[in-house]
Amino acid sequence: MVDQGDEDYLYALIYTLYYAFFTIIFEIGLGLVIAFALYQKLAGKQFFQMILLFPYITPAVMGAAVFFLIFGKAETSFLNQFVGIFGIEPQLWLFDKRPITEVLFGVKIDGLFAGPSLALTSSIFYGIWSYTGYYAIILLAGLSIIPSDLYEAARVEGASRWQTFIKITVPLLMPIIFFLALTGFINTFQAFNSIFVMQTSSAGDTMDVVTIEIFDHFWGRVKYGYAAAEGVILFVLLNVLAISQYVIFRKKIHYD
Amino acid sequence: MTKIFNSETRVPYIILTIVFIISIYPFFYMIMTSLMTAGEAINQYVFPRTPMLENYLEVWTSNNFQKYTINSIIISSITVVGVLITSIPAAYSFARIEFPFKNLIFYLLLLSLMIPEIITLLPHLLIIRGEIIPLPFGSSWMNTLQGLTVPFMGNIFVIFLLRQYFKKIPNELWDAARLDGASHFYFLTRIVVPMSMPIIVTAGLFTFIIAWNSFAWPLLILTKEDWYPVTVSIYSFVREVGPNFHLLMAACLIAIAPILLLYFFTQRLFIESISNFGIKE
Repeated sequence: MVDQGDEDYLYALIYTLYYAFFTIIFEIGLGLVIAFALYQKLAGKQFFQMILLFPYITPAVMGAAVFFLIFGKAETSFLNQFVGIFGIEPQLWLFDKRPITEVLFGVKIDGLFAGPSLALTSSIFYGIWSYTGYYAIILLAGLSIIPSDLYEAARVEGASRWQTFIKITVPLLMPIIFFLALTGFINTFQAFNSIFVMQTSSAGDTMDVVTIEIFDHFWGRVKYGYAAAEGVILFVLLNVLAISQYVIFRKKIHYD
Repeated sequence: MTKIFNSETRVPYIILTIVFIISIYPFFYMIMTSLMTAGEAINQYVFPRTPMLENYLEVWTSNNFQKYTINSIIISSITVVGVLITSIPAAYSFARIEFPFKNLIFYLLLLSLMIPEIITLLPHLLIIRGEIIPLPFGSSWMNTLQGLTVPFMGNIFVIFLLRQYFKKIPNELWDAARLDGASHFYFLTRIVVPMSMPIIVTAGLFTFIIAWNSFAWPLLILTKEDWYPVTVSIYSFVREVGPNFHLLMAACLIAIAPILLLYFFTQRLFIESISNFGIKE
């Protein structure tokens, strides 16, 4: 085992990376859209903000239990009925270990580019559902501290809405987007409760993200030393990620 | 109405309506399913034919669910009290008292936020079993209430949140209080805490949610069912749900209700402090 390394752990890291990457991209992207929608002067803004945080405060175990039924494998499960409207065949969702590329395009790819399994994708949906509102609230706070005379000036110069968004809003939001990406990585690498609840045996080990792998080693198999070693690797990786993100984004943060 | 739905705001409203539906649908689904008969729930109808309020009673009285819910309330409340008792003085010291290595200690604490929680479970477990240091109240804390609560009574995030707030309290107040001969303790309990009630409530709610959410830790240290929290009970329910979708959803609704209720009363403070947290970083 020492000679060739633990393949399960490597795969767990890859699955975690899928989970982190896709959730963060969608959370920030959708969060920006929602924040921008809320930023227009609307009636009922307070109400929408309250609703947006509902998924965030929902305890993960209970939320995952609901999603476990919504993403059920039965033909009558809500999601299968829903995709049926668009003429899509019922899927196994959380019970499907085929990679997403195979499900979507019918091509078989091995290795990193095969993408997460349909089961892991379903839990990614849960991750996005539970955190996007929280991201939107923070991004909205970021939007509201951008001085309005900048927008005035842009309008006088005749800039289009899209240009204003790309040239003014996004650069000024960069520090907050960076902060969200960083904390997002820390959070998604720690995601445990929801995935643990939604795990199914027919999805095999394609949902074993790194936290599940570690927990399994010291709860199920009582290998404390091994679990601790896996934990230390995770900690080092997180720090490397955080520092490299900082180095990459540092130039873009200083927008002046 | 014409003013609300002009062309400027049409697109934002469409986006927000979609987001609204997606955010709220799982709750709607949960409530509706919890009111169905077993057959309706498995076929996943949208509405129950006749609302079956008996489902709640059945869940509440069966399988010790009642006891587990009360366990969770006890565990979370004790954790909240513990966290506030340690965090308020700590935050006050970091914000307003000068002592050697203050910043160094604070940054080390902040750094520990980077450690994934799953990693800290293992050393916690060894300490709880009394293998590293001798423990008060019994040689091992496995299967006990103190084992469930004490390890989480220090929360760096809460300290950080409170410190930011305490720092903003004007120095003149402290100067005036000191002229009257007040000690730090007196100033903290009589002036700082009453002034900071909003942030303390938010921090308390935050801790309560985290404690209510705790799942991996109880799973690790509880080998008997006496102190099972509601999360563990829901988890085992999911594992053996079989055809009882309606009962599972009723149980989930009962388990989420306290959190939603607390959130409902404190949402304005909650949203405010989340917004502030993002900007300050």
